[in-house]
Amino acid sequence: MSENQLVEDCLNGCRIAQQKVYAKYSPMCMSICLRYAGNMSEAEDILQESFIKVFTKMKQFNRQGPLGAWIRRVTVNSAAEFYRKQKNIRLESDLSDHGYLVGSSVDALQNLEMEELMEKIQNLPTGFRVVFNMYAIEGYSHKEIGEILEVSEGTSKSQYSRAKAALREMIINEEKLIERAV
Amino acid sequence: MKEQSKNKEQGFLADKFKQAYHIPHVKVWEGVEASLDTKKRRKAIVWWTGLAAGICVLLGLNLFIQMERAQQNYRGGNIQSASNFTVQDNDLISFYQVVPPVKNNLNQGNLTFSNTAESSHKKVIDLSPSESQVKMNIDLSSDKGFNFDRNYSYTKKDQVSIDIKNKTEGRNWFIGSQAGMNMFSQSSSPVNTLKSANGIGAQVDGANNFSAQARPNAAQKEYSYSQNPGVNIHLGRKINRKNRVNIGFGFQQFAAEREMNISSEASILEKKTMELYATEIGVERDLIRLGSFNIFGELNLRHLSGRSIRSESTTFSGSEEENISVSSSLSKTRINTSGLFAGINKQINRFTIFVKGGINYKINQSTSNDGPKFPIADENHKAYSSVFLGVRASI
Repeated sequence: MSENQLVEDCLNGCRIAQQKVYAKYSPMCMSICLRYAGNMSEAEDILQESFIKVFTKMKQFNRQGPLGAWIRRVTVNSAAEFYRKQKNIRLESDLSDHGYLVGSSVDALQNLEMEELMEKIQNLPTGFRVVFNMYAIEGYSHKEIGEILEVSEGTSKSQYSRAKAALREMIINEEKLIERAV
Repeated sequence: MKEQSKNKEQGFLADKFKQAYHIPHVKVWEGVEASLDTKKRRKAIVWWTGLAAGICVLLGLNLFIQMERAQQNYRGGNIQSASNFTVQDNDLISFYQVVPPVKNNLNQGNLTFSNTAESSHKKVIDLSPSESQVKMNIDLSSDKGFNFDRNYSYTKKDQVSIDIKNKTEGRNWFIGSQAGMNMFSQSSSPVNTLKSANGIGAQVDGANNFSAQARPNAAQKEYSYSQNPGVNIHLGRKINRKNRVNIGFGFQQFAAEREMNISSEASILEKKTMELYATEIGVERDLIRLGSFNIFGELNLRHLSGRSIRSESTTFSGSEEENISVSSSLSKTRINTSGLFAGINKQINRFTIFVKGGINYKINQSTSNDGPKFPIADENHKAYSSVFLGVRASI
């Protein structure tokens, strides 16, 4: 069945087609949700919300790009919305205090394996985690992040810098522990 | 320089997670499915509500146009119809029974209308199954929308009677939605047999009496419409799945117009507007389970109280327009109906298909003051059976 046909069937409310779309894209989306969520339960909530949106707003899919990319975007937006609505996301805009962090090396992060990096990202505070994911992994600009999370561009930059610093600190601490153990 | 480095970092880890995947728990899909079902159902309810509201508006407009036409016909002195339309044996009867009986004295060669009842009490007992009435009721309702209720009835008595009644009510507290078709069969006695149990012969139903005595070319028309905005509180599944309680409050307003023309010599025009307040309470209980079917019993009580808020009567007597009289009257009505039903239902997912049949007993009491002169008390007892086939959906 072609992707177009699948989309058409989903638009007609065909449950089998919806299940096929879910089966094909939910593993990818779940990994996105896990990066944004603090735990498995939150990730599942976000995933559920994402797919409800996918099926109820499929009319908005313009079919110019692949369906997977559109679903991915819906999932990321759902995750961002999830934390924006929770209001417990702590986003500070005071960039000057943490100015020294800007420009921290990202080499250490690039050298990590995916699983290791994933684990460290999940340990970040919510605000850092969301911004870091959106900027460093999804490739959103700070301006776009600001719009989605309804914060200023400066706040997004600040969160990102602090997220990087926190990750770097985790790596250094880990290295120290290994050194001591050796 | 700084900006360049930032741009480089934008999405710099994307490749690392390109192949990342994690199979979610099956309960996530179940949640998605359940949510989609709910949205679909809500959408359907909105559609049904809109449809019912649309039909109500159309029917209301239709009746309004009919009444306007009737008024125009009367003003133009153009009543030519030879059909006899009267309203009988329904909630509107109280309204017509308070009309002072008129007597048509044809022997003197000069038509006069005289009120022969100065004070009376009438008790009518209709229990013999000597005639049948078929009534179709379409009832559509939703949790926050309108209840659309339309009754058609056809009665063969001394003359043909057609009854069209529209009812619209809001059900703000209703849990669930209901759609079904109602088939009533109704029994009552023929006209003028048991109707004077302890009354005076002349006190029989004024409208019928008049029609019966009228000359062949007499024309009589009656138009009525009613509106029933109201609130029904259904306490049901929240209490116990096996007991369903229904409490309702309603407000009904209707207007009627009657025109009669006896040849070209005399005519009568009456306009009435009336309000009815309804309270109802019902209990339904599942009794026995037979496989996937439930046998249930239902008891319901309904009380209506009303008063006329406008009542005018204009009489043209004889060919000379000297005896034109205009009078107004005040009337009050009480209707108590109790019903005992039994039926069988089957639940399929969220839908319950049911058929129920039973008996109703209706006591209709009214008092009327025709101007300051003639207080009239009227009482009517009626027993009838009804069968109901329907579907109830719950959210």
